[in-house]
Amino acid sequence: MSDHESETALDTENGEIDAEAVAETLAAVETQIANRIVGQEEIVRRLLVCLLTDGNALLEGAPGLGKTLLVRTLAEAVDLSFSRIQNTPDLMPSDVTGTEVIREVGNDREFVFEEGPIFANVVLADEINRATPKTQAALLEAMEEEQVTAGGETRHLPEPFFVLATQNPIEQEGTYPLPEAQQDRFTMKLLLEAPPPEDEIEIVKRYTERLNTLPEVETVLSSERLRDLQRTVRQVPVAEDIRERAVAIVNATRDADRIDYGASPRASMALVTAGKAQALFEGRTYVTEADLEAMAVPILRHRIGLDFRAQQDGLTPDEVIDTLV
Amino acid sequence: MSDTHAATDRREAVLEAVEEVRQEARKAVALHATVDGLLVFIVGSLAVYLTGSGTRGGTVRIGLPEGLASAGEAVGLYIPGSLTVAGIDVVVLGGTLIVALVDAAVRYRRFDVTQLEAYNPELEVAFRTARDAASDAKDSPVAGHLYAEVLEGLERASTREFVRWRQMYAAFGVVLLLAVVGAGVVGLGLEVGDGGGDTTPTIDTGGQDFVGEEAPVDRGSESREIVLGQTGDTADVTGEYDAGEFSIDTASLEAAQASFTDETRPENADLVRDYYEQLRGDTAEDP
Repeated sequence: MSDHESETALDTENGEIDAEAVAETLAAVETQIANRIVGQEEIVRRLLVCLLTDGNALLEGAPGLGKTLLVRTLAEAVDLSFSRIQNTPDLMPSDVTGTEVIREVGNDREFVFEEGPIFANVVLADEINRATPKTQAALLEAMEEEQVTAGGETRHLPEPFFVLATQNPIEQEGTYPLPEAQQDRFTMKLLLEAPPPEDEIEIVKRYTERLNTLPEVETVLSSERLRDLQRTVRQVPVAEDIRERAVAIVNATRDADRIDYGASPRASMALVTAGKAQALFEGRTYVTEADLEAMAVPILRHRIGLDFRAQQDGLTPDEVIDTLV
Repeated sequence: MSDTHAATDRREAVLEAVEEVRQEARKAVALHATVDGLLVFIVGSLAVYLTGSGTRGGTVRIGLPEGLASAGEAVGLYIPGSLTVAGIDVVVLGGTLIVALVDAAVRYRRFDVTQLEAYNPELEVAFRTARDAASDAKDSPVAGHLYAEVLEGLERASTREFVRWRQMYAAFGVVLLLAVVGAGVVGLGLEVGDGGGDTTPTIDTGGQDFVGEEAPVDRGSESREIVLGQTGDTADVTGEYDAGEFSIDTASLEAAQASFTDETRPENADLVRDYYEQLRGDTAEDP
């Protein structure tokens, strides 16, 4: 554990938090992730914002861009347990949530609940669109409720709980695209782009000189402190007009010209909460319009459906949202 | 002092600061409204004077509170029991008051604590967030940090820019200019013709003041006898010339303004023809 963790980032003095210390702690997490992930600063920031809002993220990108490495590194930097679910068409809900098995205890046999991979702080659901709708529903229900019911008993998932589901946008054959209602459960949808050549050169250099070794990552934030930060995010005050602005942005998606269906109130809540987290990253204890605007695209892009004309014109959700912000 | 108390104190301090800012805004609004009202009053008064509307509409008697007169007497001032003013002046005053009130209302609506941020960018959104959080009685450690930050920022902030100085100077300049113009117009006694569309200023005194009334010439045709003084006895000596005296009926020689009889007006065509023929010399009489 590094010195960062021992910092009293959330200790209060005279009834106030040290916002600068909070920002430094968060910057330290970003720095540790950057030890392994070259570039992608914006994705890392948004991922951390999503984590701080106690949300979940949908990560879309071509294979080989480091999605799994990114999530694994995040879990290491924040001292969180990590598990990975490789979704396939034959994956059963119980393979995700866990199941009761008969175990011999002495001369007796009893049913014991065997926790599935979803019982971890950070769960990477790889290629979620390859799982059947039934398995997807089980996974997303657990994600939403942060609990699993099996064998008539409800079991709470560990806190903090963060699901990061990936989708491969290229291969569509044999997949089960997530329905809109399921996508709405994800706080953000992050698009991982191929790195620019200079970053790729650095990646090649960093990962081709040693066998089976990854760059070191220090744990700079404990899970308890992360939970404190998640609570702190919720306490960040928001001005009335900023809150109204967030709602206006989301509302605009429902009336916009080229949008078939708009975002739900869940998006408004996500936008304000993400704005709060973004403010803390900047060492501020108030939200600005810029915070909202920075978070609008990842929060709204998977929650809107473009109409036929927009699709015919080759517009992307990001472009349409940009016109609304 | 506990953390909770500290946060509460800061919250109350923020609420007080917000009230102070609003008070400053009210002062600025009052200043602008006064100058704008003054401008309207001067323009209105000038328009009334130039259009000659002051004499129309009769007068209005405005009663003053009874206590005012007695209070004035107590300090040696005479204050009448009522004032009689022209109706149009009441309209101008009323208009001035309405404009000033509307101006103040509109400006105060526009003025807000957000104005303070506009003139003090370092406060950014923080001030109004703190205002809203304090109004919602938020006492969390995060809100406490915000309150502390805002209160610190307010120590450096200025409300001077609440008054739009450029606008204020411009309005004040126009007021001064109109006041000077108004004073000049009143001093010259200029007025505009009464509603016939003729706005050319006319001289009110009239030509008679300069050339006198039209009257028949009754001077120069009467013979007067003047007797100069002489030596020797004579019965009808009326003055001593040697003594440098002479007498005259001064009453009949008093200065009189020249004028024309009705029959001899210069524009009379017959008279002109007559002069013309005489000038041509005997053409009529001696062809």
